[in-house]
Amino acid sequence: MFPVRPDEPEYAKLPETTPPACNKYGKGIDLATDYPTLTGDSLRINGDTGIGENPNRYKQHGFYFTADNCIACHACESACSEKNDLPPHLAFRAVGYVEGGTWPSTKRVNVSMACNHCDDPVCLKGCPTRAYTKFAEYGAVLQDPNICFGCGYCTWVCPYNAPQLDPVKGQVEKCNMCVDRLEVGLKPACVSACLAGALDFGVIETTPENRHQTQTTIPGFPTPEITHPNIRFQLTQSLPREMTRADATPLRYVRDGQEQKYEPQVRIEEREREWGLKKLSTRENPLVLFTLASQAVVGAFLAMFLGPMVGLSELAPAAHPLVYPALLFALLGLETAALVVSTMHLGKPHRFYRAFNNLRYSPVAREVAGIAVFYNLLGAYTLLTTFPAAFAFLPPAWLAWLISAAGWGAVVAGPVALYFMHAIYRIPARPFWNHWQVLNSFFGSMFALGALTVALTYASVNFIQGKPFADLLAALAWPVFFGLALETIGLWFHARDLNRRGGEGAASHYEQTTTFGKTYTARNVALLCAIATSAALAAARPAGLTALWLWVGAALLILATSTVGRMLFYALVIPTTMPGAFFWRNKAFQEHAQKSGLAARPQTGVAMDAH
Amino acid sequence: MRKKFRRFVAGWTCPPKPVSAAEPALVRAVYFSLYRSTRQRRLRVAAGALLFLKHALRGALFSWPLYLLLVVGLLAPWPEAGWLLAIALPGLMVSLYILLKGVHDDYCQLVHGEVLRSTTLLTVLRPHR
Repeated sequence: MFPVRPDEPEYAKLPETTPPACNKYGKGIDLATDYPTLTGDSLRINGDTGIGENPNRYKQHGFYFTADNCIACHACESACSEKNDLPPHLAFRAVGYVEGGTWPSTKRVNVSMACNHCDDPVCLKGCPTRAYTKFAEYGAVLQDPNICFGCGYCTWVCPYNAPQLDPVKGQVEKCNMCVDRLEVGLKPACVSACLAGALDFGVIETTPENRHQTQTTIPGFPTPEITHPNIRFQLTQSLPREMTRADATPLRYVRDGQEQKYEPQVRIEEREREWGLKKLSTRENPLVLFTLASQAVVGAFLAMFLGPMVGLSELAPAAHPLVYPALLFALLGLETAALVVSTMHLGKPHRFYRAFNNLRYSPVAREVAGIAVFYNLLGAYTLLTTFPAAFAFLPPAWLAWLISAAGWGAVVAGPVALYFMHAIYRIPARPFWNHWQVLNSFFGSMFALGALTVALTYASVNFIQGKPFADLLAALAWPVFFGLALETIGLWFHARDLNRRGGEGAASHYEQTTTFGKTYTARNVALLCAIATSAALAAARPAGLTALWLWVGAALLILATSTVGRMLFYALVIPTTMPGAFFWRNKAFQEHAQKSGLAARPQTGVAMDAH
Repeated sequence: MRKKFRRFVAGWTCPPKPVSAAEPALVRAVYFSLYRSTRQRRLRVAAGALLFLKHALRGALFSWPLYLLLVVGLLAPWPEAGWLLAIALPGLMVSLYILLKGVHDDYCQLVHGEVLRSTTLLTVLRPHR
């Protein structure tokens, strides 16, 4: 048990309270009533089998934050770091702020934020490894870094930036509610260290002493509807109508005239349109390769398997007994490379198999399973069609059935895997991604890149062999056209909807048209050119060397468009996190520190990506 | 360079898991005499072999098409084989890294510092999160 000091001050002790039956979201506070089988067990903190005697052990606890009192001294951060022995680049609790008004009447609201141990923890559902557990004890959402394999998906889905991906260790860690202190009746370390009485803790919906408000939101706090967080605020001072963030995110919070709620809006600044090419490269570059390659492989296999059934006899295995298996092996190689890259992108690649632990809830687990099934069926189809002699012990009818089953299985598994791949990005905490355009883009790339791969391979071989290929190219130009058109239509609606919705999504679009403005325009122009080219190639049916060169040109254009588009997709997203400060939790400062070498000094609090 | 080498070596070394310093000296002496016995060493080797088998089979379940690429790359004529090997060989190295790191991870967690029993040795094969 956590050692209680004999002179422990009263303010560090949890008070005796009687909570109501339900919280503000209608969820029961007494977890022992909802989950009676989960009671009476030890939390086994550091191997200790003792059971705490806290009378409110099975009641949902939460933080209370009085913004009026917070002076941004960061004592809560220091106490948390000391208690959890955190390195300088990690903080489970952080103080950020929003400010507004004009001098001398300026106002600043400091917000200290850690994990809110939500009623509906999206990190728990999103984690593919099941590293998260919501305990009946105190309602704490705890994460086990020894299970985590460092994909960082929980850091994407959490609207409050609570889980922290340690780039050095390659694993996620987060606030543990100081459950060891709660077991002996003490408040968490951050609360006990608060100098100004801003931070308090207790059973949720029990207003602590010296407070009267229990609001569920505050300027800068993302909508509580996503996860039902267990934090309550008090803010009595009057604020200007508009508050802005101190970090580099182009967001401001504007008060609604009627409901008196602060809503995020884009902060328009005097910015020039730039290329932003250096900023295009992000930590997620392996995912750019993985998603595009997987979509191309699925699309190419669909074209090869279904093509002969819709009249493209040129694509039948018998028509090109050497090219067909060679292309299958090339696809297998490309998917292998994509899987290797995406696995090595994990903080702990050797734990990759844990990705299947949470098929019930996690879209990441479903995507990995879908791609694994497709990859294995593609391998089986390739093996069976290329080396039928190795299976001579089987009756010919059985072999034919096996080939057909593997092929049809891959035809179904591929698009299903891409559907799950898209579901990963439908995250309410990342409004730029949370749009049906993602599905359009992924299936569009499948059609365009897949058909392009098959068309170029067969056209090159036929050209070398002196055979005609104009009809095949004309037929395959249509899926290319369809895929590009699908993406373009989605992009148009995406931009329109982001601007209409406002908030973080509109801020991402603002970045898209300013920081990456020239790149964005160039990509759109290239996309339109690619559509026109593919339509022209389908209608004009050019032949010979001219046709081949035109297709190579179109392929380069489409490849560049797809790659830049996907890099923008990852670089532009602005999550619904809490506001940061000038140096802390400020993406612009982190980038500066990593580029300038400041990050090499631990006291800067920024780490180089090292895992 | 030396720092990087040290970090690399540290990455392949199990963190020390000694019997608690709070235990009486007699308890620690008994533990170490048992842990360093020939029988315990053999059991640790056997557990390591079982873990290697478990991870190799699990890896093969997911990545057998990679090994298919490698076999075909070795059998195919040049220069076509070069393309396949260019993908298969780095893939194989990554696969081996993942395999060894996985075995090492489990060994540190389940075997290192533990007094093993032959009757429960097969429990290392159990899937644990």
